[in-house]
Amino acid sequence: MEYSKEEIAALIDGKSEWTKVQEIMRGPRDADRFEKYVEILQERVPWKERILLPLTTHLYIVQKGKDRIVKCDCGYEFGDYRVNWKINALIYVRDTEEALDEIYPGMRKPNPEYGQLREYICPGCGALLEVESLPRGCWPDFEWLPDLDSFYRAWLQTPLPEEGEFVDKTAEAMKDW
Amino acid sequence: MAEKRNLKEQVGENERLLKETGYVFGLSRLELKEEDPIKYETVWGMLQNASGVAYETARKISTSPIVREVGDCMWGFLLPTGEPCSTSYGIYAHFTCMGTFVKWMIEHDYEEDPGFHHGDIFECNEPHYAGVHVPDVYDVIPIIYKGELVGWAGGVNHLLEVGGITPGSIVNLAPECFDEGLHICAEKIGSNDALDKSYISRVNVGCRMPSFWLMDARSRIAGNQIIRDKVLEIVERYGLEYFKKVIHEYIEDSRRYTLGRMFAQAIPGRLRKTTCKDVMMKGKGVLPQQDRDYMVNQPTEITIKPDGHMKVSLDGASEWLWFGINCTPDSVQGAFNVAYTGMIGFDLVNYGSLATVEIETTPGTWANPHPVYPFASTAIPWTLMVTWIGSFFALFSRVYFSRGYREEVLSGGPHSATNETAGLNPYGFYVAGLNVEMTCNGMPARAIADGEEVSWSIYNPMSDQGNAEAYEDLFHYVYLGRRIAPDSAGFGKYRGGLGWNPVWLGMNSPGFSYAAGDLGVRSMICTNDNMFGSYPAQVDRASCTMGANMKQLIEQKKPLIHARGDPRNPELLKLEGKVYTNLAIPWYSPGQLHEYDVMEYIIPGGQGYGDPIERPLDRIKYDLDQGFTLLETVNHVYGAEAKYDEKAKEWAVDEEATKKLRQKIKEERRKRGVPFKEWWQKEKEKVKAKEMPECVADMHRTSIQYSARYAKEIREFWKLPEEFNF
Repeated sequence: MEYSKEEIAALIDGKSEWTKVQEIMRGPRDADRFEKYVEILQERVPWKERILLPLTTHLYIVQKGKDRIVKCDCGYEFGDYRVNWKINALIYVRDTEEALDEIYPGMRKPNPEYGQLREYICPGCGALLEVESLPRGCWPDFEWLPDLDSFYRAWLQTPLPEEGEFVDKTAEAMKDW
Repeated sequence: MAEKRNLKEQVGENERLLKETGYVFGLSRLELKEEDPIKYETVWGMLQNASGVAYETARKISTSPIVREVGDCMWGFLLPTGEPCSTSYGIYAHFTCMGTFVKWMIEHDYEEDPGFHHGDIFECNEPHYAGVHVPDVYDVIPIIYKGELVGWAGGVNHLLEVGGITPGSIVNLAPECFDEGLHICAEKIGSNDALDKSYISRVNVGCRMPSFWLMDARSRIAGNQIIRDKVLEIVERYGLEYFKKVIHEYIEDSRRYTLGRMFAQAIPGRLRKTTCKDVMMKGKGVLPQQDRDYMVNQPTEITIKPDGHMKVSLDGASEWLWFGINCTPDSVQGAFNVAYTGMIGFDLVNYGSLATVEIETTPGTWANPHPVYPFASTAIPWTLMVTWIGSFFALFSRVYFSRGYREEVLSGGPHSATNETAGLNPYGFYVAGLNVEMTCNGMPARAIADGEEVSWSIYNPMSDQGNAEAYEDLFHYVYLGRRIAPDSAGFGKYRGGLGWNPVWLGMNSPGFSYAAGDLGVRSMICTNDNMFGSYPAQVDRASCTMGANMKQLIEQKKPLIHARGDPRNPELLKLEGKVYTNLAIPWYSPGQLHEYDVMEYIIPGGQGYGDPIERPLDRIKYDLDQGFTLLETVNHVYGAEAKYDEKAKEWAVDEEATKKLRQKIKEERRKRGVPFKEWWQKEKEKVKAKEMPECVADMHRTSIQYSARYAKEIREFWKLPEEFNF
C-alpha cells in the first residue's frame, strides 16, 4: 500500500475527506509512511537540522551536530531528547479559583486544592505544548522517550550514523539544581 | 502441537512451549494456513459468525436494558485448555477472563470431579478466581464431539442487580468482598442444558431482582448453545483433526498479527503517564474506616521493546481502598484488552493477541490488593479501570503520531458517571439498577478532526445510548432532557467529542433511592490524559432535588428544566425547595426521592488534542451555530472573536481580530509563564512542607510504600532527604 505525499499532507492538515480516511484506516499500513511524513514536516520547518522523530504538534527530535535535541518548530531548543523537555520550558500553574475560572466556569471547575493545572509553554513562541493535571508532589510526566537507535537500526533498517545510550537523563540534568 | 495429555498437563505444556519457543503451542509454522488459506479463512469466518449470532440473538432473551439496549455482553469460543479463540462484539474486557475461569477449573481438577459433560453449565463471578467483578457473570459450557472435549462456549453479561449492600450493581460502598452481592464461585450450576433447582433457589433469595438475574443467565446459556451447535456443525463438516489443529493456529496467528501491528505502526521506547482520581467520601455517612477521602495514583509505564513485545507496568500505584473499587490482575488485564482492541489490534482478537504483552501490578495496591488484604472489595473495579485506561489511548497515540499514522491517534478517554435508582417502578414491582446510557460518551479528539459527539464507549466498541422509553418503562423517572452538553469535552485544536446532559423527573413511583454512581469519574481534579497542549474535560458533578416545586410549575404550564444551563448558575437553582447541586460523585441521596424530583448530571466528552488557540475558525463557527460552546469559551480558551449576525441568524468569526487576539495570548503566556527551574525551587519547599490535602499525602506515602522506584524518583526530583516520607 502506498499514499502520495499530497494525501499524507492532507491527513496532517486535517483536510482529508472522511471516506478517504476510512479507506486508509481499513487498509494495510503503508510501509513508507514514516519516510514521507518526515519529508513533509522537514519541508515545513524553518530550520535545517534533520528531523529524527516528530514528538508533538510543535516539538521534534532533531540531529544537531553530534547531539540529538528537542526543538520547537519556532526554533527554540530544549536540549538532549533524553531529558524531559518540560524542565526547560516555561510553566504556568492554574492553582486558584480565579485562574481556573477562565477555562472552567462554575460547576465545570476542578478544585485547586487537590490538583494543579500545569501549562508548559514554549519560551520561543508561546505555544501551549502540554497541559498536565496532577496533585502537588507528582513530578512532570516524561511521556515519550523513544529508543531511536533500535527504531532506525532494527525496524527501519537505516541505522543512524552514531548511536547513543537509550536512557532517561532527566535526573542527571537536574543533579546540580 | 503437543501430544495428548489431560487438560491440566496440557495447560502446563502450553505454557512451557510458549516460554521456550516464543510461539504459542510451539507452532513455528501455520501449516493449515499455508496449505489452504481459503479453507482457513472460511472456518475462521464461521467461528466468528457463531459468536456474532450468539450476541445478536441471545442478548434479546435478557430482560435487562443493560444487555438488550446497549449490548453490555459478549460471547466466544475457547479451546479445551481455556484459551479464548474467537469472540463476538461487545465488552472486550472479558474475553481473557473467560479463559481464566476455564483454566481455574482445570487447575483445580474439575476435569476429574465433577467432570465435563455435554449439557453441563459452569458459572463464575468470583473475582478471587477469575473475572472483573460480581455483576459480570461468566457461563461456560463444554462442547463435546463424539465423547471428546473440543472446546468451550462462553458468555458474559453485566447484571442489573447483584444483592450487594447497596441496590443495583455499582456497589462503590462495599468495604470488603463479603459486601458485594451474590458470589458464584466457579460452580456447576446446571446439567442437561438446564439450571439446577439449587441455583435458582439461591438466586431467588440472593439478590433483589432474581427474575432479571435468571433471565440474564438464560441469555448467556442460550448464546453458548448457539455457539456449541455451530461449532459441532463445523467439526462435522471439516473433520475433527482439522478443527483441533486449526483452532490452535488461529491463536498463534493472532500473536503474529499483534507483533506485525507493532512493527508496522509503533516505535520502540518508553511511555509514561500519571493520572490521579479522587474518591471523596469523608462525611458521607459511611463506616469509620471509609470516612476519608482518597486520591488514587494510577501510573502507567509502557515499554515497547525492540522485539515488538510490550510491558505494561502499574508500578507506583497507591494502596488498596476500603471501597469496592479495587481491581484484580484479571480486571487490569481486562482493562488492557479494551485499550488493545481500541488502539492496536482489531482482527483475530484472542489469546494470542496478548501473548506478547506482560502486565505488572504490585501486590497491596488498588491494582492487586488480595495478596496483602484478601478481603479487599472489587465490587466495581471499572471505577478505576476507566480512569486508568483513559491514559492508554493518549499515550499510545504519541507513538502513532511520531510514526506518522495520524489517522490512528485518539486522545484520552472520557469519564463515566451513572445514575442508579431503586424502588417500586411504574408496574409496582421493585427495581434497582443503573441507567446504562453512560455507554455513550463523547469520543476522544483525533489528530485529524474533533471527536464524534455522543458516540463512544470505553467498554464496548458498539456504543449505544439505549432507548429512553426502555428506561422510562423499567425505572422510576421520565426524561426531561437529553441534550448535547456544551463544552463538555477537552478543549484543543481539535476538541473531544461532546458528551450530553440527561435530566430526569421522578415519576410513577411512590419513592426511590438515588445514587450518582462512580464508574470512573473525577470531581475534584481533571484527568491527565489529554494531548499536546489541550485542556482536559471538566470535572464531574451531579445535581438533584428532594422536594422542589416542579409539580407546581407543570400545573402552571411554566418553563421547566431541560438542561444544566449556565455552569455558574445552573437551571436547577431556579427551583424552590430542597436543591442539591455541584455534588462530588459518588453521591447518595439522604433518603428517598419522589415524583417530580429532578436528577441531573453530564455524561462526559472525550479529551482534546493540540493547543486550543490553533483551533480552525470554521470549527469554532460550527460549535457556536450548534450551541456546542459558549462565547466566553471561544474568547478565553480558543482565543477567537465572534459575533452573532441577527440577520443571517448565524455566527461569524472575525479572522483578523482572532489573529491579533491569539498573538496577544501567546505573548501573555510567555510573560506569565516562569522558567521551570524557578517554579520548581519554590514548589519543592511546599512539597517538603506537605502543603497538600491529607489524601494527596496519603497517596504519595502509599505509592512510596509499594514502589521503590517511586520512592527514589519522588525524593530525587524534589531533592527530598533520603528517608523523607509523607
